[in-house]
Amino acid sequence: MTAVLHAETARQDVFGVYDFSFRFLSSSDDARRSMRKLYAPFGRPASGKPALNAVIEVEAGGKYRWQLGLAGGTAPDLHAALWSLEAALCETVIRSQRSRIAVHGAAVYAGQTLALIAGCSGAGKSTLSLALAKRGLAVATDDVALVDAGTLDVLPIPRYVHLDENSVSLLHADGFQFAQAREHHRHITPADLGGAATQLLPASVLIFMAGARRERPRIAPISQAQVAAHLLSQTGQGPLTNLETVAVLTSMVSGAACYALTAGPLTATADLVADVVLGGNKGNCTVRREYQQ
Amino acid sequence: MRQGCVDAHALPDHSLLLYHTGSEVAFPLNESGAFIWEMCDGAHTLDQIVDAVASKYEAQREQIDKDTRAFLDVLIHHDLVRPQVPVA
Repeated sequence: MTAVLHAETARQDVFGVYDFSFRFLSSSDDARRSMRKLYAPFGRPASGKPALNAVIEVEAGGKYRWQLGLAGGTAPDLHAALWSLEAALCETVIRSQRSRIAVHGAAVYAGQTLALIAGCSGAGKSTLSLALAKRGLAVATDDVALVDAGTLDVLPIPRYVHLDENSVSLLHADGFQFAQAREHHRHITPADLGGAATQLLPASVLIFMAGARRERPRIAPISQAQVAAHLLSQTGQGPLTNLETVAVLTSMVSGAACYALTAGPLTATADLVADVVLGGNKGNCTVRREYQQ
Repeated sequence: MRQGCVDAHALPDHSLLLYHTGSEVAFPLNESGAFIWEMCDGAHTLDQIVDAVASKYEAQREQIDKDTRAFLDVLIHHDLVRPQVPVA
């Protein structure tokens, strides 16, 4: 089923996410504004015809129909439609890659230092990312980034930041100013977090969020092999073979300081991580040389 | 003896990532584990490996013997190395 466009009012924008481009059509100014905010800062569209059309339109009854190529669905409101479309776009961008792998993690910048914070869904990457933005770090994605197999550059995929009510209250308690970031907390984008105009760099700090939340946060150096294994577990099936993916990840960790983070209360955790990232990789991964198994 | 189906990546911090191409599982080894892995080349006996570890690291010889054997059991369990019967 194809979303019905209001031909007299629908307008279009063309966006590019690295070498993938798409045309967005909607008669909703709110939808177009939101999509521009998310995608426009992430570069110019590739030349040539956009690969796919993305559409959001109002259906009879006030529901919203979203469509990306042949995929699509109905959502109860515009926010939900934008989320669904954006998630589908993220998957499509990842699938369109030929020499880049996708790693589940937040990309956070402090000047020329790029930290990739990896961890399972629900580990708290998004909440921590916003708390780090409050501390002056630029957040380019809270969820997923591509890693180029040749250059090892990290290419953050722009995504809306998804927060549940618990995260919102934790961030309020940490002093995060939602009103300054956006009108509605469900629509925070990297542009709100200083991370839209990012440089493409290899990650110099890799942090893996592991373990249950504790009374006090802890960040400790771990081996590059441990982080490579963790990253492999957070890397989806991509265009490279498994062996090629392992080779990319081991090259990636070779140039990075590697840490394991056990989160505690948000403020203390964010302070700790900000110190590590702002310190860059100067305090390079301490190698435990003593006998250990 | 190291299995041929294992892809090994030595890292600058002296850790080692092993990737088993059959099970598609990655195994990170620390420096001492990497040292033992390197000695699983078919040319060293278990006793020689324990001796080498004992000469490299400061720990009780008895503990090193126990830990090295346990570590090799783990490698065998995950099909990363295979025991080699000595040639008479």
